[in-house]
Amino acid sequence: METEVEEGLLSVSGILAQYVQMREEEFKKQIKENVDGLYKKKNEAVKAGNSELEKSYYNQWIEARKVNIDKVMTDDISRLSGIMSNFLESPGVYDINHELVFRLKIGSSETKEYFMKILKVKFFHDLNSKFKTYSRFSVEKGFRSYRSNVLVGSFMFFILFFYVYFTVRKKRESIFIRRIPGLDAIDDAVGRATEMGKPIIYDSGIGAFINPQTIASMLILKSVAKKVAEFKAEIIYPAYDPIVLQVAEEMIASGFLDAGYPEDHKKDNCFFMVQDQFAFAAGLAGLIARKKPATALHFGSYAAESLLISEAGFAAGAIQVAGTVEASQLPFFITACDYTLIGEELYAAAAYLSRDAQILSNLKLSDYGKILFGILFLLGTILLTINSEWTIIADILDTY
Amino acid sequence: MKKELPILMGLIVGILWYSEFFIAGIFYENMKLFFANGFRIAGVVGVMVGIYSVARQNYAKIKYNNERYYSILRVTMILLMIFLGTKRGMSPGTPFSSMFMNVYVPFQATVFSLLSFYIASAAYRSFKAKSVESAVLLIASIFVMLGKIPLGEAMWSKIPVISEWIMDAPSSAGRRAIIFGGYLGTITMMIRIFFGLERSHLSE
Repeated sequence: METEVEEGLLSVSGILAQYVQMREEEFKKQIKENVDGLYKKKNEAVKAGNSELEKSYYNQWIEARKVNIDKVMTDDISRLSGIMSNFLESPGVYDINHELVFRLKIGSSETKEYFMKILKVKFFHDLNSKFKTYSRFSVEKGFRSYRSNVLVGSFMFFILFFYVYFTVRKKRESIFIRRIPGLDAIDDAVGRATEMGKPIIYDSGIGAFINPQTIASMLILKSVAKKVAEFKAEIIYPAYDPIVLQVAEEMIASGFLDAGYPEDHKKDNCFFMVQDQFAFAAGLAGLIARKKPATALHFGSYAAESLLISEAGFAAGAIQVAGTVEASQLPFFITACDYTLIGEELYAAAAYLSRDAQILSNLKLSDYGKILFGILFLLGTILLTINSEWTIIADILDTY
Repeated sequence: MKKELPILMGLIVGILWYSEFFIAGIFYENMKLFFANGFRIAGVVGVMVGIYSVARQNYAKIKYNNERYYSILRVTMILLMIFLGTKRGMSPGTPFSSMFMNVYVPFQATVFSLLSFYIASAAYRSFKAKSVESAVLLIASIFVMLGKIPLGEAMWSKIPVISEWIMDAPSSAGRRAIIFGGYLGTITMMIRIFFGLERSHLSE
C-alpha cells in the first residue's frame, strides 16, 4: 500500500510540476516586465524632478532585480501543493497520550480502534508532508544557480582563512592585539576572590552548544579556570543546557589540570540549573544573592535575562565582566557590569587570553573580513545613495 | 580515535549541510529529517544528564548543606509535577496543566516584570553626566524618551523627529557595526569547527 501511495503522490506531484514548468516563460516575462516597468517609472520620475518618487521606484527596481525564476517557480509549486493538501481531510487529533494509557490500563475494547486512529493521523501527516516535498523538488532540482555568489564568496573566505591561519602560525609572537580592559580585569577579579575567600560565578547564558557564542564562552572558561586554579580560588558554574554543562565540566577540569592542581577541582560546583529562561535568571540571581561572589563573569548568548542576572551581581557587590554578541543586551551589561566585551571582543577574548595560533587566526580573519566588506558596504552605500544604475555590488551582496 | 572520529563526523556533516544550501533535492530533505530526529534524541539524552545533575546536586545539599530547604522545595516540586503528569496526563484541565498555568506561568511573568524595576535602577545609575561621553548619552536619551511620549511633541514639535533620527542613524549604525563584527567572528568560528581546527568541545 505504501508503494502504491508513494507512486500516486509522485504522479500527482509530477503533473503539478509539469503545469508550473509550462508557465516558466510566462513567469520570465512577468519578472522582466516588472523590472522594466519600474525602471521606466524611475526614469519618468527623474524627468518630472520628483526625487521622492524616484527614490521609491529606485528601491523597488533594486528589489525587483533580486527576483529570479527559480524562486518564483518554487513559490508557485508550494502554493499549488498547499491548495491540494487542503483537500485532504485530517482524521482528527489522536496521539500517544494519557487517554491511550488509560484505555490500555482498563483493557478497553476500543483500544485497537484508537491505535488505528493514531496510525491514520501519522499516515495523514506523512502523506501531506511527502506530497509537498515531492511537488517542490519536482520543480526545484539540482544546483541553485542564484546562490553562485555565496558559493564563490565562501570559497574565497575559506582560502583567505587558510592563508591567514598559516601566516599567523609563523608570526604568532609578533601579532598585535589591542588591550581589552575587561580581560585584563579578570586577573584582578580572580585575585580579589582569593583575598575575600569568596567564589567566582561564571555563566554562559542561555545558548545551546551549537551557538558560537557559547563555544567562545567555553574557551574563555578554560582560561579563567586555569587562573582560578593558580590563585587557589573557587569557581561555580550553573548551566542552562545539560550538554553545555558536560563541556563546561571538561573545560574547568582541563583548566585546573593545566594549572597543575587537578585535585582542587570540585565537580559539584558545575551543575545543571534549569532550561527555562526566566527560571534560570531567577535561579542564578538567587545563587548570586546567597553566595555573594567576589566576581561574576557572564560570557555567552543572552536575551532578556541579562539585566536580571547582572543587577543581582551588582546588588551583591561583585566585580562583573560580561560579554555577548547580542546587540540588544549590550546596553544592559554596559550599565550593570564593570567591564563589557562588545560583540566580536567575545571571540577575541579567547585569543587574548590564550594566544593560541588557531584563535589568533580567527581574529585576523575577522579583521580582513571587516576591511573587505567595509569597502564593499561603502561602495554599495555610495552607489545606492546617488541612485546609480551600476547595482552589481547590491546584487552580489543581496541575492541568495 | 576518540577525537578523530567526532572531527571526521563533523566534517562530513558540515559538508552535507553546506552543500544543502546550494543543491536542492529529496535526499537533502530526508537528511534534514534524519538530523532533526537525531537532535531530538540528543535532547532527550541531554535532559537525562540534566536530571542526573540536579539529583546529585540536591542530594548532596539535602544531606550536608545548610541550604537544604531550597533543595527540598525544588525536589518536592519536581517530584510533584512528575507525579501529576504521569497520573492524569498533561492536557488542558489536568492538575499538571493547572499547576503549569497557575503557578509556573505567573512566576515567569513575575520574574520578567522585575525587569522594569531593574531598568529604572540601571538607567538611574547610567544617566549621570560624569564625562563627555556620558553627557552625550544623557542628552540623547532625554530626546529619545521625550520623543516617545506626547509630552515631547507638545514641548517642541521637532523632538520626535530628533528622537527618530537618533534611533535611525547613529544608534542603528552602531548597532549594525556590532552585529557585523559579531557575525564575522561567528563565521570564522564556524570555519574552524568545520575544518576540525576548533577542538574545545573535545576538551583539547
